[in-house]
Amino acid sequence: MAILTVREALQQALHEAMQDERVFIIGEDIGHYGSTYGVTAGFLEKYGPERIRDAPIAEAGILGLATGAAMAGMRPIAEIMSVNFSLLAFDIIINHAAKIYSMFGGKFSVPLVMRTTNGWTQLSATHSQSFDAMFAYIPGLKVVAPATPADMKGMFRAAMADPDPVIFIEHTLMYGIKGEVPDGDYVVPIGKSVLAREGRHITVVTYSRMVHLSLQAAELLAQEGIEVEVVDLRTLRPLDMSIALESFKKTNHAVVVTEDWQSYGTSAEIATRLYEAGFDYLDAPIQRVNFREVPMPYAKNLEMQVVVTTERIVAAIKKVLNRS
Amino acid sequence: MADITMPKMGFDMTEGLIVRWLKKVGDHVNKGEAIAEIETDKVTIEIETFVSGTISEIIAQAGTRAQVGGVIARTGEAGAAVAPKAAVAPVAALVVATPVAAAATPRAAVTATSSTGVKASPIAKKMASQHGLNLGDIQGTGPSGRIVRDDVAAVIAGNPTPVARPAASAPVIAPPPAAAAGTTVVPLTSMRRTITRRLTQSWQSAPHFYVSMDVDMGATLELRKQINAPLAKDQQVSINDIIVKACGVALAQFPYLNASYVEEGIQLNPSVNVSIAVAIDSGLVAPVITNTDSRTLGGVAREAKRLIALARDGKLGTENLSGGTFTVSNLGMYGVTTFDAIITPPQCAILAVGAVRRTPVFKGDSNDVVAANICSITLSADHRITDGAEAARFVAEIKRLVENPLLMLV
Amino acid sequence: MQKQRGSTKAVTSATQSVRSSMTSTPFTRALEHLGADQLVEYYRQMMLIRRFEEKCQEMYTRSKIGGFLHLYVGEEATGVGAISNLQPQDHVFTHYRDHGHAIARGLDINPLMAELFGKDTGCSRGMGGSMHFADITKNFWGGYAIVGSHLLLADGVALQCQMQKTNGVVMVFFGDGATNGGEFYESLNFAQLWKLPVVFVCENNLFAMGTPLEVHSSVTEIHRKANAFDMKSMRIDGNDLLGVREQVGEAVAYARSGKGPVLVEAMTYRFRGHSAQDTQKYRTKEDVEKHRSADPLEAYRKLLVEEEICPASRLDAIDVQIDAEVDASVEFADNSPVPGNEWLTDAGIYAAPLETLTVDPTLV
Repeated sequence: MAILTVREALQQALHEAMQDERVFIIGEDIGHYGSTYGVTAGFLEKYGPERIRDAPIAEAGILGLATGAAMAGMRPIAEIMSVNFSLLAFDIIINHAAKIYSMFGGKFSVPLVMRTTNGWTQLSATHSQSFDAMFAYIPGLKVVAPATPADMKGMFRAAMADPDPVIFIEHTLMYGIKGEVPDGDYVVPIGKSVLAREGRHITVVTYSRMVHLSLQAAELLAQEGIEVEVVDLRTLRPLDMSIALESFKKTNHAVVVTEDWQSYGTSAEIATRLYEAGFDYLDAPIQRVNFREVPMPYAKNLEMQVVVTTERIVAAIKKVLNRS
Repeated sequence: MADITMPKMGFDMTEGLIVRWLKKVGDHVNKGEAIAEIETDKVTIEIETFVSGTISEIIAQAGTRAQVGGVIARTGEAGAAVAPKAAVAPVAALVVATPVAAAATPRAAVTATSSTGVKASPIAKKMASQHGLNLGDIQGTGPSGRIVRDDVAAVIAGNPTPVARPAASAPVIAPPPAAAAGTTVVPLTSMRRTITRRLTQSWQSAPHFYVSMDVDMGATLELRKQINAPLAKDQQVSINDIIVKACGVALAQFPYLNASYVEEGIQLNPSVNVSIAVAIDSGLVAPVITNTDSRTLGGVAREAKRLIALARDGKLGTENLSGGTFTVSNLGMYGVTTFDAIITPPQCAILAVGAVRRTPVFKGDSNDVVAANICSITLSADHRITDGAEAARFVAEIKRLVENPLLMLV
Repeated sequence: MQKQRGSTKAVTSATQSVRSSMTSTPFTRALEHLGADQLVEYYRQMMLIRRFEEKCQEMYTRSKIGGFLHLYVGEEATGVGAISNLQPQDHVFTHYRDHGHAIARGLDINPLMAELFGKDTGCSRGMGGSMHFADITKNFWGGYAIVGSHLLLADGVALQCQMQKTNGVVMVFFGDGATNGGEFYESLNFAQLWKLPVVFVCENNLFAMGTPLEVHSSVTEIHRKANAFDMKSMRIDGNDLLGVREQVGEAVAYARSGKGPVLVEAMTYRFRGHSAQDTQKYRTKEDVEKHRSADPLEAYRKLLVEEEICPASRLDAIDVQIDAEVDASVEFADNSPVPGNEWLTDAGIYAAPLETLTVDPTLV
């Protein structure tokens, strides 16, 4: 076991992936610039411009070329610097990458991995969004959003091995998070959730960066005698609710924490699954903690009221447990 | 001979209107030639034939509609007799798929509460059902009185948690002092937790107000002496029994004091069931003397004795603990003179009875001081249901009955 | 700038009697290089497309075929001529008007008709329909129904050809209407920037669905749009089969040599409406008739007969044979099973379906 940051874990995963000659990386500023978030720093020097392809600022093109190359047998990694830019490639992602396998009768598939990042820090309205739900809405895509360095590496490996298009969602505020990463080869499968913390009073269902905030909230509440169980979904499509439901069956109380807007967002689906399959175990209405539903303001004082904080998670948990 | 059918000219087309025929019976048509103009719900367009031949019959005349696939004309030998087919349907027949309007029969309104009128979480309902418990007997401590998991769990755990609960001398719930070395924290028993939850709920949700009066117990003490003289110990009537009986009679006259505060409003309870608070080793229970108003004084006394015995033996059943509409709590035996009790939800009021004490009083309007046996009674009432004047009249009626106990015997 | 709306030059080069004049033309060169049989084979392909699509129209009106039906009738010379230059290792991408390209690339018409009928034996297992014919055994990557996007996928396959040195070329078809959206420009930039082996074939039939060329594009000579990228381009008569073959052949050779992509603008004309339910208010019947009178198929047939490549009787026999093939395709489609319900599960959506854990049965 080594202690690595998310960034380092991803770098290891990408280096491993590059061992396959069919793999190339295409994206904006991944090479000459040195990588926006430092993940592919040094890759151009090591692998050369043929396989580390600095692309024009043309997101549809990046995804379109990657999709075509994947169909023809390559294993492209398409990097979209910020998920906000992926909107320009949604036609390719939704109308093509997600559809090609079934629309053409299962004769060929699109083994594509699209890396992209959620995140915010005074970047204002167009650079602070999450489209997790929009990706996860689409049959034909696989959507993963790991939280820990170990899962980042293990799930990236699973994504690269997968014959279907995988949207790999990272977070700009997570690259520096450290954690234990197993040595050697290992794979964390797509579509399997995991228990991030055991507890018996309430279940928090979450994923990506919100796992870390939920764990902080659980730590605070432990001091008041409230034992919070935290479930990390890890994959948004296909959505594995088995562990969350098992936990809910035990605690009868749940809070869903997701870093996106509430209406029609990922928390809507997650909470609905709990209601549908766990109705008889429900002891109080499920609470959701999400972005406030406004375009993200630039001003720090306002931004901090929009984003999810540990305090808001704690308050939601207490509300569900009817404790003031 | 071949059929010419109404063509489908778009994926969403189901029928077409023949605007006009470009060919007539006897005309020769070639494959691909336009033969008629049709109108769909989107466009007017010429249609072509896929067969060559002479038109022998036009089945769908201009101005009529035909379903896609329906025969609109035939080619073949001119004049050949052809049995008409029913392929062409008048337009009215095509509009059969109009959705049936929403069912006219109104359905029972579905409300937030269950059919029993009790609000409970799904897990609470499931647990109650599994243990054969009646949700109506369980007091909810969740938001808006919702019965939650822990309320049912407390009952299942052998803890009497039915509607009528004692409020007398409810323990003060204060923040615990900071834990110091050697401090012992006694874990809450389930009964303790239930008391905590339910009385906290009452205290937080029911605005309490208090009405106190002094009652001269002289006549009651005299009556009791007379009644008890010939009776064996276990048959005797207590002061408390007389007060309970007085409460029952008074409650029959004051329906709002015999009411419950529920989500939908004030529920006027059809029978008068006075609970009596009974201290037991592990805490408090409040068994119910049903139909208190119509029982004889002796009947009240016998029932009270029976219930107290059951309580001390831990043998009270759900049937003894549910359905109370008012509570009497008596701390007189401990020398308490006056105290305020907390209402047992969802009841409207509770009467706190102090000790009977010999007190000098002025006799009538004179300045003569005499000894009297006085008992202070204090009513705690829920201001959502009743108000001060009504509560005062109710307590005055109890006072009148207790000071004139023969009124209760007739 | 000279606007050339509707100017398709009416196959003049092919209809002149060139054999007697002894001048070198696409016809004489094709005859020399390919021989008479191959020239007849092109006729057969064009006629097969024509008859197949006429049958499609009939089956559509009889509700055997659902959805949209976009016919290629009138544009056959472009598809057959262009694709005739491709080798097995080459690739084809096309738009939703894809029947002609599929047949020209050699796809069997039985699975094509079955696809239109929504049958399991369809080339796309009944999942794609008219707009989504595909057959990867022939590197025919499919028809795509979102205008312009597939140009980027074509670039991607060309990138694979380049990176894995397959010597393959990608030919991608699209209409004049596809040249105004961003994906067209992104695809041209990427292709020229990375010298990808792509031949972009714009079938300029003068209308973007029902919007005339001069109404939808600021530059009506589509081939000039390549100038912004320093890309080689050409405008050709798309109705002259042998001319198309020869000029697109030059473009294919150029792309294969590694010099980069070529944009070919083939002027052609669609005889039928955009789809079945099209009143064609945007053009006159006279316009359509004028173009129909210069039908590239009829013109090519005339050439073969007049130049004594093939007697009319043999061509008639081919037509009869084609009619039988087309009828057989209908029978094949009719008798085929429908696709199974596995397409409604994850197994139909993912190459590697994962266990979907939507509901824990113990909780229900």
